[in-house]
Amino acid sequence: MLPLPRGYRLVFEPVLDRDGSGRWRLLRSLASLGAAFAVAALVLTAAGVDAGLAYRQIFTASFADVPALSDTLVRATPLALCALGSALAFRARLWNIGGEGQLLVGAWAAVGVVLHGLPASTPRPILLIAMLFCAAVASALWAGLCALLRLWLGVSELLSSLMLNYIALLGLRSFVFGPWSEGGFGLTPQLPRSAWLPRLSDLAERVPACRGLTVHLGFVLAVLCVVFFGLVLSRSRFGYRLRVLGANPQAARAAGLPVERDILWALLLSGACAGLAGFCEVSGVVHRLSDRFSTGYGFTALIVAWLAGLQPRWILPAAILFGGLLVGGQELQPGGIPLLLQGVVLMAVLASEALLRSRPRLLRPEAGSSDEPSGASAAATAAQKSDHSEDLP
Amino acid sequence: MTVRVFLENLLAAGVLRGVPLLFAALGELWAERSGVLCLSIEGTLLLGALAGYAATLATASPFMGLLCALAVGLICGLLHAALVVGLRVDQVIAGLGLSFVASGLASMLGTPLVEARKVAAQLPVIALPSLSAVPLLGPLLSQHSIVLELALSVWLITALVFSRTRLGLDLTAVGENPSAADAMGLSVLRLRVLAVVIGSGLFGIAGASLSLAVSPGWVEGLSAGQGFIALVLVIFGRFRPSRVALGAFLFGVIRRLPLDLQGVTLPDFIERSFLRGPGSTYVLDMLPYVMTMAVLALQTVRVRRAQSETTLRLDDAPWALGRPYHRAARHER
Amino acid sequence: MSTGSLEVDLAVELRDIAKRFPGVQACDRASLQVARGEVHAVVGENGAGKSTLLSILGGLYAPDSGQIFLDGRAVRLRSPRDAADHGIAMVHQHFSLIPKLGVVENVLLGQARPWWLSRRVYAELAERLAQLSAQHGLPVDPRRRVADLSVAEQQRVEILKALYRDARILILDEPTAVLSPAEAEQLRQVLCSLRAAGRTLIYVSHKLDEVFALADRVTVLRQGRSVRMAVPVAETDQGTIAAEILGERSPDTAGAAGHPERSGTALTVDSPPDRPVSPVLRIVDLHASGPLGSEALRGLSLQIAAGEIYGVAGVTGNGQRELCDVLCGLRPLRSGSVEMNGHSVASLSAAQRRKQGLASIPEDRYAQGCAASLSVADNVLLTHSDRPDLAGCCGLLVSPKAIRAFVQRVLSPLQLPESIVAQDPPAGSLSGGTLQKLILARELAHRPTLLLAAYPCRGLDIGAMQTVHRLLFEARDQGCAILVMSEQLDELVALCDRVGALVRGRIVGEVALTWSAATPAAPLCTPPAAMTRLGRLISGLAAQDPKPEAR
Repeated sequence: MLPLPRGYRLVFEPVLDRDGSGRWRLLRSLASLGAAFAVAALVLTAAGVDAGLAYRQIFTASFADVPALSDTLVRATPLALCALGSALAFRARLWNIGGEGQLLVGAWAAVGVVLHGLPASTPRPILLIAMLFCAAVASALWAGLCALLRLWLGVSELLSSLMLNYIALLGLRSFVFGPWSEGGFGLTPQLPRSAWLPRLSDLAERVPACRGLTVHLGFVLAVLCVVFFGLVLSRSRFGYRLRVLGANPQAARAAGLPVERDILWALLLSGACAGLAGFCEVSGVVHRLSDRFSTGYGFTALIVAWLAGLQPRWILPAAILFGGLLVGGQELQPGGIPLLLQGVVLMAVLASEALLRSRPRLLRPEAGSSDEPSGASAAATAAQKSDHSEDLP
Repeated sequence: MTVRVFLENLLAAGVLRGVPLLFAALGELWAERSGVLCLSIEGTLLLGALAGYAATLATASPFMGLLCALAVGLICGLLHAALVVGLRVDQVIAGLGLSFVASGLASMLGTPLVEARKVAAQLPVIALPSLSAVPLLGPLLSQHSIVLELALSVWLITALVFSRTRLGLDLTAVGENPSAADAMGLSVLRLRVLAVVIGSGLFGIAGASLSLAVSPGWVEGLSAGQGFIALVLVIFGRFRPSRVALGAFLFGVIRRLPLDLQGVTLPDFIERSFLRGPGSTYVLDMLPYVMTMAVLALQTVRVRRAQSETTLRLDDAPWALGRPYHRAARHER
Repeated sequence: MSTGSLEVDLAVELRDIAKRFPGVQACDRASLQVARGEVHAVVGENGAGKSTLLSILGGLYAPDSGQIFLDGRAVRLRSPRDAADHGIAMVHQHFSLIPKLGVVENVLLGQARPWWLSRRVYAELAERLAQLSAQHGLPVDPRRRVADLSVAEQQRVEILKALYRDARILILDEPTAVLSPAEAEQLRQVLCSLRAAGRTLIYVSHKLDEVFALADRVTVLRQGRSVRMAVPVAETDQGTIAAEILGERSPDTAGAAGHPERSGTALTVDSPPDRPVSPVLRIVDLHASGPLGSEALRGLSLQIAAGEIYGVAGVTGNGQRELCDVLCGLRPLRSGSVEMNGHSVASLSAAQRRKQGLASIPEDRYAQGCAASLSVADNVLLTHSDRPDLAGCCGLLVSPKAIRAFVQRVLSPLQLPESIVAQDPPAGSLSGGTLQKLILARELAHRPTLLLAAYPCRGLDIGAMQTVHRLLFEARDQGCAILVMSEQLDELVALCDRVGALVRGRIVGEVALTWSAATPAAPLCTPPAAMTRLGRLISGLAAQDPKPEAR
């Protein structure tokens, strides 16, 4: 506790916060980020890691020059898309934490349509659009499963989406080790070039500065999605209903809002976003399916979404920050540092939210307060009392 | 291989596999009965597994490992309690966050262990050859790890606490109606912290039982979602210790089933189906997760049907589960 | 000054208690002096700080400043347990019982010992409870689960709990609010028996007739201050106390006997508009289940015409909530018919019913009527989100400008402070009265043909209450049929054209307050006669009582 003069008391009063918008939100997120890095530094130091060096390494590897920044944006792309999906669902208080599984399913569908659906001679734009579409639809349906389970059987979407993560991963493995496997390893054959999203480095012949820049068209897709869903959430009736649903589902139901339909659509769209992330990864980065192409983007995205306060416009910066963390973390030993940092950032954001939900107030000791010994107080209060109270009859 | 041998082996291995689930589910039960949802279960379990394994490597005593895992669990519990009971952070997101932190820490600290390729001692195995003749349960009873006894005693204690002691009554009250419990002079804060800490301690032990007995050794992601399955087991067990134990062993057997089925020749049409092709083991591995979802679906259907009957039947879940309690909030509403 | 404390043997004294909640100064140097062995009433308007002050005595809140004396010694009550150790027990308005546990387990809760609860402990306790309940006339079966008990029985469990702990000082917070008149009378006898046994009772209420029937002395709280301290009831009268409760607002406009809501509005309109032949709402033989599968509505029938206010009187828990839910489309009906404007609505969803002209003011304005964390404007939009005129340029998105204009239009008749419109704060930060006005304005903006108002004035101060009544009358005059539920008979009698008594899921009798609303089934009564008749009906006393006098 804080050392306070005798009699003073510090109390925390709850404050009703607005929906999490406004400048405070930004300030709070920045402050908690700072606090998180400080706490993580302590933990790392305690674990025998030079925190300063680790942070420097992370920064150099992720933000210091243009190629590094490009790598960061590549990592930020699936993060932003998944985070957007999570934010959509969380806005409505739907705990879709199956982003990882939905991403895997999206990637699976995108690869499936190329390897086993369309002929190899399909023109590039059509192939890419088909992949995008299949990925989005497959993931939406995967997430829609949670919605249906919830609406029909009352299964909490939190638990079902969690379980579906594991099922999706195992399903993916059964394909990459089974029918789609190349030589029995956990890999599919590489996708044909026409199924690759264009990268900046493709322009290297004409623009030499683009050489080695891995950032691909998926990043533009992510930006477009962020803008689109930003508008949907803030300016459409659907976005408004999601906000009401998140704030008070009982009121939404009493007001006759189509709660069931909105839940379904929120989860479908949320899944579709994660599916797009899966598409971007296989088509823009790894160009084949394996069981470990995703480094837990779906989980990291939850933290990104929360750090962004579930606001689409803050998702991009948060995703880029975390993308940098992932890029930088690759180089670091031991391996779990980025994961640890992510967790600590989330905890710091949560704690700051809780602390800022209450307003500290210092209470002065009052004459005759109950802290005084009982004997002395009787006389002291008698005089006070005469000021305002009526007499006893 | 006869059916009997198959079943005996399945039970022997499956029941053992249920032990970590039982520890974890009982831990969750403690927390949830007091009204706190502990989604930190998965991460805490992993961290406990690592701590148990590492301490055993260091001290060569698996019991020290168990103790260390308990301690780590308790610390995680304190942290979680500070967030959700103290600061009243949303229980879902705080639990997930803590789960991430713990998993990250475990994978970070565990990397050297994976590379060291040393093998730690396991918890002792109890041999009771005289019991080997018991039908079906023979192999299980005659030779099993001591964690089974430990798990059963924790189960017994938990069951007694919740049915026969004041502590159990108080925790139930806090989970059902915290403001009433508060008005009755119970300290909601203290009881919930206690329950979360005890529960997290059990998560730690669950982890150690995994890395020191059930699937000995340390690999990243050792728990494979068992923590979350335990979470569902509490719902399956309707928040009662006895049924939770049943569910844990059942799911242990289900987890084991795919492995045992590999060595069995099945009817021809199955042998030729996708269940036998390359990559098929992964399909069978889905079984526990699919079953978990099925359990959830059946459970909620059951609750719904019960509600539509004319008899009075309250929902099983503690009323205040997942709801932070704030005394001053009484006034606002 | 305060010589009284020397003359009277004080069991409890609270001095200058202040307690602030976010945004509210609940107690502002309030004081209380209670003599040993008396029934002491604490009266005041809603929000005057009664509950807070006594919760402080019950150890639930710590005061920001001020002192508590028990038997003349200053004490600090850090927790309810502390208070219990000093012999103080509080029966809260919302009972502190755990529904899933049995009566005995509930009594055991919060006791320090024993830690091991063997069967013998339970048996002994059950026996002791049986003794206590026989002694004080509090019949309860100790083996039953609290969830299965009626509200009155639950209250008895609360009192038994206090008695089992041998509480010397018993605080009852609005104990009769949830009871029928017959049950309230039973409670009065229990309290008299307790006083005779030498216990000190502190009785919080805003019903002056009860206070005058029971209490020895009365303290009046107004805006967190004690404006009258410990007046013997014998030396005052209801009018004086009512005036004290209201302060500078004249008792004439507030009505006598502490029923301020009767004021001014009673029977102002004697000539309602022409009524059409077909009723707006017609319910015939409605059956529906309650929350736990029990049958909550058993053959309820009623009709409301356009331009009529129909009141549903009754003790809470007799099917009011289920009736609301069924009418709003939130709960399926088992059998019977519900027709709006001549069309059955049984198969329509909540949204479709709203389109048909239904609007509703939910019972719990925080839980159902608003989204507390969203802004005022968002809450106004709650039932208007699909209005076509909110669309912006491209049709798909909504236009913030149109929304702002619409919200201003809806809120303009309320004359809210500028700051609320300008700053658009979260709805949860509004006072209960402002929020209720907002909800009412929002619902009336639909120009509904049928308005459902569940407890529209619960917990409101007199100003907000008058506004709510005014808005309801205006809607009625524009031809809206209104169904009002309330626990307050006087409010219903002042507001309604016709009132039905809801008992165990049925309308067991009706009275009419205006000529045009009178039917053979609903005889015309004067307000006092209507109150008497309704009081008997909802107590389950009189299905066929003597003919009420005609007006």
